[in-house]
Amino acid sequence: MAKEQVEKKVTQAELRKAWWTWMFFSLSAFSMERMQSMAFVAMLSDLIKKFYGDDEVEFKAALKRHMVFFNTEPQTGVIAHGVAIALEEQRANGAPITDDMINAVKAGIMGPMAGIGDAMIPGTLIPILLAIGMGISKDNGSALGPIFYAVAYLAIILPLSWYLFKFGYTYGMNAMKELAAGGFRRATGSLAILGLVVAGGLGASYIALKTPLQIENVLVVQNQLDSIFPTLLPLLLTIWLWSGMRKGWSINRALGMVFLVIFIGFLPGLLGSIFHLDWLTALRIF
Amino acid sequence: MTVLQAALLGFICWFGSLSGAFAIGPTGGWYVISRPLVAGLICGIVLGDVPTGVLIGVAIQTVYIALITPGGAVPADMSYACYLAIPFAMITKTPADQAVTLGVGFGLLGVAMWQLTSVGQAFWAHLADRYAEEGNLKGIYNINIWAQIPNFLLRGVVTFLVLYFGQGVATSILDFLNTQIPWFMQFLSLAGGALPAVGIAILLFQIATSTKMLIWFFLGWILVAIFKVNTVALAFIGAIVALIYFLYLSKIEEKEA
Repeated sequence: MAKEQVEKKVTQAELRKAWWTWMFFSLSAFSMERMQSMAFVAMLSDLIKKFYGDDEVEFKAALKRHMVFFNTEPQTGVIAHGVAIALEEQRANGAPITDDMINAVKAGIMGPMAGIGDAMIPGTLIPILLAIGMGISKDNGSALGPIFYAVAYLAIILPLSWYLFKFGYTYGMNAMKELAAGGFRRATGSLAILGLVVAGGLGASYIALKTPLQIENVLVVQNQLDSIFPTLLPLLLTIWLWSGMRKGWSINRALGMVFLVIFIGFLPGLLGSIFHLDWLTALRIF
Repeated sequence: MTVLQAALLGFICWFGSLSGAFAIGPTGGWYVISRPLVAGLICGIVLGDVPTGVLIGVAIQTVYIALITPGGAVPADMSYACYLAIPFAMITKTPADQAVTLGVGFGLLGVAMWQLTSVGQAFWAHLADRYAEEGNLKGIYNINIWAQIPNFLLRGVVTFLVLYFGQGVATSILDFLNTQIPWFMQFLSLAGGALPAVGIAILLFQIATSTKMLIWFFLGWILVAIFKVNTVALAFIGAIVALIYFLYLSKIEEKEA
């Protein structure tokens, strides 16, 4: 290792540039085989030059070290990037940090953060903002709904991602421990509750499913349902699909099931109209 | 649709694709440009009818409200669900509820395209391995930019070609369906109305880790179905409940655990 008099210290500007590089190219060269590793190296490129520019062996080793498989939620998983930079900095200044240590820390963060990040961002934050945007636009097709969504999402996610990136760099090895200590688990639990409340409202407003079933042309079943609990059928459908997914249905299977249910309900009416069988319309469910 | 309009939509589709880099990567692309709500506005601006575009966008959005792509496994491809389904629905004057089914169809087609990309791009990984061996950092960096070329061909050019040369075919197919087999379109409308249930169920499946968490889902449902609360008010109520949980209930839970 080269004997350095001056300590190699990452500046704020270099951190910011690394983060931006990652934000733009995280999934650019994505492949199932290596996923985000090319973007990870690109993110580190200026820093690798700074740390190991004067040592060819270390320089090549750093490239190979970060070309290993890497995958996380691109916006919140950046804690791992910050930690990796902190470790590389210590290593460049002579600390005994091995390849295995750096890779183990990266792998230890990317997995959990992919799970938490997916549940938090596309699973909670995005649906809430979309729900508000859709609420603004659903009646008149106003441009304000989409504009609200785009502005609000970027205004939340960009500072959050940058904060997590710096958080990783500041706390290094201890980043995940610090995160857990800061009530992170309770915060994600609260977000889940907010997400669920909004999801319920979305279901009640956007799913259209009614029955034209009539008994003896006197009792209109849908009116009876509406007087007891409006949107009961959409609720039952949703809960049925949810329990199916818990049993392992794929999304495509769930989509297929909806088509099937509608088709079964639609069939008697269709046959009735084709074959002029009036009695069948009495059995019509949908 | 003019050549310019189709080309513009092709470009935007490329920027917004999952691997698109130039709109702040997935942050501004996949999660903003390729949300059907936003795509509806963009298609509306390009094709000169914002309200229609946004309404179709809202309708398609309901199915994909909680789309998550764990480990790059894309269940439905938003690029095509947005930038083929919405423009086609607009120029063929397809009602929003039928456009939902159109979105689902194009979304499934796009998945095949994504799988092709994510397997084919392994080429870049092998090239990058060679560069790492040679110590060619600049080369690895540039791969991230070169990778936008195949992405441009598959998302930008394909979208342009399908939109521009497919519009006549799409219009005649829909005309045929509407006049010859109207019951099929009626069926699509009914299915389109019920399909958002899948989106909501996905959301529920992702967030509710236990059955007892359904309480919160029912709370939101009842507030809207029975008390007719609007979305913004609902978000505020949800935020207050979440804060109560964060400040008080979760602490009790932690003590008991």
